[in-house]
Amino acid sequence: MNQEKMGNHGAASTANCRHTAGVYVAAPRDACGLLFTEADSPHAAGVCPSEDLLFAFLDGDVDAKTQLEMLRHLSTCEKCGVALSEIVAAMNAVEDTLRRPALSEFPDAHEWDLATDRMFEDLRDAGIVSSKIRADLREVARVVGRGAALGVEFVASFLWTGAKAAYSRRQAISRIATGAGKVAGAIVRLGAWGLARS
Amino acid sequence: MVDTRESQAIADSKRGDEEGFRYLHDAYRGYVYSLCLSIVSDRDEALDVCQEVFLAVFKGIGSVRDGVALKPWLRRVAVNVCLNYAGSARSGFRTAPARDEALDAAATRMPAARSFAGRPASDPAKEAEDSEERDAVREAMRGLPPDQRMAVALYHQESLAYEEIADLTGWPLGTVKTNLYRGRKAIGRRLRSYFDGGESG
Repeated sequence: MNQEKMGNHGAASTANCRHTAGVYVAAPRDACGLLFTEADSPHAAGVCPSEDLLFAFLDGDVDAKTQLEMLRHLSTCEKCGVALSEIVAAMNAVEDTLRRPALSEFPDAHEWDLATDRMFEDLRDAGIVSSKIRADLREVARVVGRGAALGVEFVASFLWTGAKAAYSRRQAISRIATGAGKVAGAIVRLGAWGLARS
Repeated sequence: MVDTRESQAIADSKRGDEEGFRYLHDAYRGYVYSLCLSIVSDRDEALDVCQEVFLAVFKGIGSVRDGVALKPWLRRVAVNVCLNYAGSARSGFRTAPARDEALDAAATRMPAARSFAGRPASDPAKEAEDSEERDAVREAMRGLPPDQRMAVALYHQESLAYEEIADLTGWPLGTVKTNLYRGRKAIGRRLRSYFDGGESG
C-alpha cells in the first residue's frame, strides 16, 4: 500500500464503519480485523494512513479498494488502531454534546420570556403578527380588497370606458366615490362581500 | 407525515395569528437554539441568533407550502442567519482562543475517554464526568473558526451528508470536506490532550 493510493479517497463507498444511527463503532478493526490476519500481508508493514484518511474512512468516503487496504492495515497496525479509537471517542463525545445539550446550556424560563416578548413586539411592530380576531379581520379585508379591485377593474373597463382603455383602480374608485358610479359601486361591494364569504 | 397541529399553526401564522406563531416558536425553539449554540458557541449570542431565526421564519412563513415539513426549512433559515451573523461586523461570532487552562483543569480531574463507555446514566460520578467532557467539547468547538464549527455542527449534530451541507451553506463540496476535516482534527487534538491529561492525572 503506498501513500498516494491511501490518499486517494474521492469516491464514496457504500460500506463503511459508521453506524446508520450516526454513532461511530468503537473499533472497526475488532469487527473486521479477523478477516485480515495473514502474517505475511504486505499491508501489515505499509505506510500508515493520514488522519484525514482515517476520518474519510469513518465517514465511508473512501472507495472500496482503499477501504479494504485500510482494514488490512488497521488489523495489524497497533498505532493506527489506537489513533482510530481516539478519533472515534472524540467524535462520540462531540455528537453526545451537540445532540443533547444539557439543561443548563439552555436559557431559563425568564430569559426565554424576555427574548420571546421582544421578538413578538418586533413582529407586531412590523405588522406581521396580530391577535386572532385582528388576523381574521385582516384576512377578510385582504379578500374583500382583492375582490373589490377585480370588480372595480371590470366595471371600469366595460361600463365606463367601453373597450377603449381600462380605468386605473384609483380613477374608478374616485368615480364611485363621487357618485358617478353608485350602481357600479354597489355591484362591486356586493361582489367583494360574496368573495369574502366564499 | 406532517403534524396536523403544525399545519394548522402554519396556516394560522400565514394569516398573522399570534397563536400560530407561538405554537411554532414553542415547538421548535429548543431545536433552533441548540443548533445556533453549536454554531455560534456562546449561550447569549445563541439566544439572540435563535430569535433572529424565528423573526426571519415568521416574516417568510407565507412562502411555506402546505403539507411541507417545517424543520428542514427552519434549519436552512438558521444556517443562513448564522452565516450572515458570522459575516456581520457587530458579531462576536468569531474564533475564541481555546481556553487551554480550562481544558487542562478539566483534564486533571478526568479519566480516559474509553472509560466512559457502558456506565449507567444515573451514576452521579458519570454525570459529573459527562458534564466536564461536555465543557471540554464546547471549549474545543469555541476554538474553531466559524466555518469549521458550522461544518462540524451540521455533520455531527444534524447528521447531514457532505452534499447536503454544501447545498445548505453554498460551499463547494471540497470546502465542506476541508472545513469538516480541519475542524474535527482540531477538536480531536484538544480532546486528546484533555483525555490524556485525565489518564495521567
